Amino acid sequence: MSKEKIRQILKEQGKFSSNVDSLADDADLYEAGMTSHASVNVMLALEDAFDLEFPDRMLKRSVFESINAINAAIEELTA
Amino acid sequence: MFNVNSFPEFRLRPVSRKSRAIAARFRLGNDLVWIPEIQRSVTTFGERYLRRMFSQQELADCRGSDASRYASLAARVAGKEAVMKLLRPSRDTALPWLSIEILRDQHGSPHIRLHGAASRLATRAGLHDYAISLSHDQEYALATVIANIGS
Repeated sequence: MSKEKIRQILKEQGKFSSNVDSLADDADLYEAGMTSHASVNVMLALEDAFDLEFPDRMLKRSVFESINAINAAIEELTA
Repeated sequence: MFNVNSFPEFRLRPVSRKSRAIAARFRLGNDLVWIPEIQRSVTTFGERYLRRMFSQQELADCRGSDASRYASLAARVAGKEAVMKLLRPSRDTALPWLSIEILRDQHGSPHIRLHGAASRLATRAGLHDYAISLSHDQEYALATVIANIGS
């Protein structure tokens, strides 16, 4: 469920040139075209959707680089 | 047919030792931002977006009409991205946007102030004496940053 929600947010905010549905859960989102600035929009939309706030220590490329990585970060923040 | 030998000024020459030595003393970064993208982020996320991206001083420097404000904000985003290219953080290094400030001095010239993680990365890379240039026209904002490396 979380991964579906993440995928939907990536579609809306990630500025991808390719189809997000075709990306594997472990595909590199930056390689698929997500810019650093688009990742800010993704982060803010995730905060709205999951009612959480990403702390400064998580504002790094590895946290937003794949659907799996984002999902792991959300699980950590909502545990 | 185009023949490069007819245009000696375009012929590739080996990079001289002197040129390599000069390049090794500087690091350069630039970035281009589409201004409507910044406007969309402000419209969609409002204060939360502004608070995560810009310091109070940066926001104060960007006061003005909507068009001028979005162009100024976009130029600062480009400036921060250009500085990130200089700092070259690893994928596991947290680098908040607020750790890089693009400010204006009393004459209106932009300059860079680094904090926390950005400052530590700069120290580790031996970067100092930054110069930054910002520009915008129509829908795009551009920033170029250069810094010295080493002593």
